[in-house]
Amino acid sequence: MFFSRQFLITVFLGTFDRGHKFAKKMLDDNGLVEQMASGDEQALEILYERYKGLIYSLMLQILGDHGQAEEVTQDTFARIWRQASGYRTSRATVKTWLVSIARNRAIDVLRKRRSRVDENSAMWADGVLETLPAKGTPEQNVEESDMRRRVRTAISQLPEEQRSVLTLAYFEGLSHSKIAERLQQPLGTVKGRVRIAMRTLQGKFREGF
Amino acid sequence: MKANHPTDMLPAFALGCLDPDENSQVLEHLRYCASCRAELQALEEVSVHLAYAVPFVEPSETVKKNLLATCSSQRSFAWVEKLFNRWPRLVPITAIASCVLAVVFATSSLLLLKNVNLTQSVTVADLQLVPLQGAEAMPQAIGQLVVDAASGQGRLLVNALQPLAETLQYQLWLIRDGQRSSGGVFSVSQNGTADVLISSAWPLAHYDSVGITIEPYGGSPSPTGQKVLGGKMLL
Repeated sequence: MFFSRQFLITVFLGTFDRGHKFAKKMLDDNGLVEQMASGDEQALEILYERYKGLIYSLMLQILGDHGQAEEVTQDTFARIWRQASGYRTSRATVKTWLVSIARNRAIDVLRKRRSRVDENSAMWADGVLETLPAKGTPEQNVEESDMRRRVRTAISQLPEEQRSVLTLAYFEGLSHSKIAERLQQPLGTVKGRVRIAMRTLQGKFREGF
Repeated sequence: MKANHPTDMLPAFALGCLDPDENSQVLEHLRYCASCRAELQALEEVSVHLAYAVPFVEPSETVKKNLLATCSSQRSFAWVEKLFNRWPRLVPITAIASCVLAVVFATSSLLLLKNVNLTQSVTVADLQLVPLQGAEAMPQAIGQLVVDAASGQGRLLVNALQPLAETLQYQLWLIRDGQRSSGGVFSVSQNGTADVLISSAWPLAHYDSVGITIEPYGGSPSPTGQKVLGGKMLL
């Protein structure tokens, strides 16, 4: 043949590598974290692609600043990479683990900074769904769009007073007493609203997911 | 509240909005109550689902590039963590061996410096060790920070910490002027040992003390649970 040996090796390795990566894309989150624990950077890349939008969108809502949101997103995945070997599936799903680390880090940054960079308050998305980039199988994409729709509908159906305490707790990390102070409402009322909002959502998500 | 179970407080706990005293009560209860831990896991899923309710935005490609570059550079430490996870007893042995080696290197360097007439100043790159003492909640616990003076980065080695329920983890706090920043969350082996690469934006000498508390799985933005280990940096 007219192809050089080096060329053929490169083509072979390239095909093998793509095939290997394709196989990894089929792994569930636990499988990817397991691979990450053995130092597999491709697994990290796939996990990042799977959740970058979810994490970054949340960071941006909490922090209101693109640069800081990107920094915390990067830091979150770097932590997952470092702690992959200590992950136990029985404790929490990978998604729960990722979101808790990211949210805690963002609220930590927000508290040190005292407030969001832009003055608009964080808010829930309205009912209109964005077009999401295709990043998994068609079934996964449909499932994610469906989940976004159901969660947004559930939140929009909460009474305004419950939604406002949920917003302050979720995006600003405020405690019951700080929320009561901010909204000038009795502490017991705030506690009740948080509890009812969470239980209502739990019931709706249980029906829908 | 149902009997002695803090059922009413669990939704707020999952959301992270309990005030500190209530948070400590729930944490203490979760250590022993499997049914509340299961209930909490379900509520934490609700909290995660809320992330789907924010407007969707994608980060720039730079984030991925930087992430992969950072993780590649950390990969060289992966085999050490794997080794420690497989044989947790190596952690205290390695800690002691590191101390002995540090002393040997420091002594030999000093002896060398005495014998050689140097005309310029020399900086001896070394490891600095910060002992951590068990707090009232776990007086038997011990720990050590091993800090690389040159880079300011370090590892945390702990021993005799009580293994926690699945919904809880230990969290390291780096403290300066009363301000606490998270240095990472970790779990311990059945023997109570762990080896953790400390995550810090600043060199560790920037901080004046450290503490370790029990927190919900994944950590908290600020300490909420009992303190189990602590120490002064003095670097």
